[in-house]
Amino acid sequence: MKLKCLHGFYLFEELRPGQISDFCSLTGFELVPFGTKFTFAELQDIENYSLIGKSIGTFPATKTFSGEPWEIFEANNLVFNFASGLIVPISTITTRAIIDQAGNRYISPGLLLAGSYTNTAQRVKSYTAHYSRDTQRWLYSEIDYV
Amino acid sequence: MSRILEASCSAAGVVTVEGFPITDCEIFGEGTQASEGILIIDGDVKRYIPAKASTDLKTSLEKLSAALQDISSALSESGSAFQAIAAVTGPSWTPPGSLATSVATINSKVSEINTTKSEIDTLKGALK
Repeated sequence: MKLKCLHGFYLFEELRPGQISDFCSLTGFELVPFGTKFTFAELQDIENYSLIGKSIGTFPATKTFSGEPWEIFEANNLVFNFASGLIVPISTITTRAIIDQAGNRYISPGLLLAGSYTNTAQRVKSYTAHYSRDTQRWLYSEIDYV
Repeated sequence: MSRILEASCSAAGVVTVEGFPITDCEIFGEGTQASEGILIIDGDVKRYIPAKASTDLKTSLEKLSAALQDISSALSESGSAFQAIAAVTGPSWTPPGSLATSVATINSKVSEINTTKSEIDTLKGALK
């Protein structure tokens, strides 16, 4: 299974049948279709525009903007916190990101949360990850920071 | 990705969408009246277009065209009157018979032009 995190908006892609249902069973998360991919249920109704003052999830937008949902997130400095199930400002994420290099990939305990910060005070913004069923962990690549 | 939304604009130039004011918005319109229209959002660029601007402009152009026709008719009548005057010869000058009619026509056209100008001024002030 492949995961693209784009400024805190998560898109899951099933590479083999059953991967999405397996992920939901293992984690308890609810994933719903989003175009040709899947995302968290809390993100399925995110619109492709934001108006200052109008809520995105439960948080009011700070910028009037149009674009893909993840571009809306980036313009408004928001991310989805899958631990709390809320859309929040990226600056409110207090989770520490533990990212270690493993060959030409990176590994981290569990699913990397957008907005979590490294020991160099950089916050994770976007990444691509593949789930390894053999090792039962995510292998990360193309990690971007803010 | 562009998004088009129904919007309104107050006489003070404040654009609102779904009740939320839109700041830093380019307004396509020269008028000073409130209007309904559309807001185009393209990234962080915002443009408001009033819905009935074209109708106001069409009416204004029609009035202008009518006024220009009246001017043309008045000038034509003036030309005819002066030609008639120039054609008068002889030791004692009397106005040609057509002069009174020409003057009346010119005055009538001037009055119509003034009326049309007032209507255009009113339309200009009501542009959205």
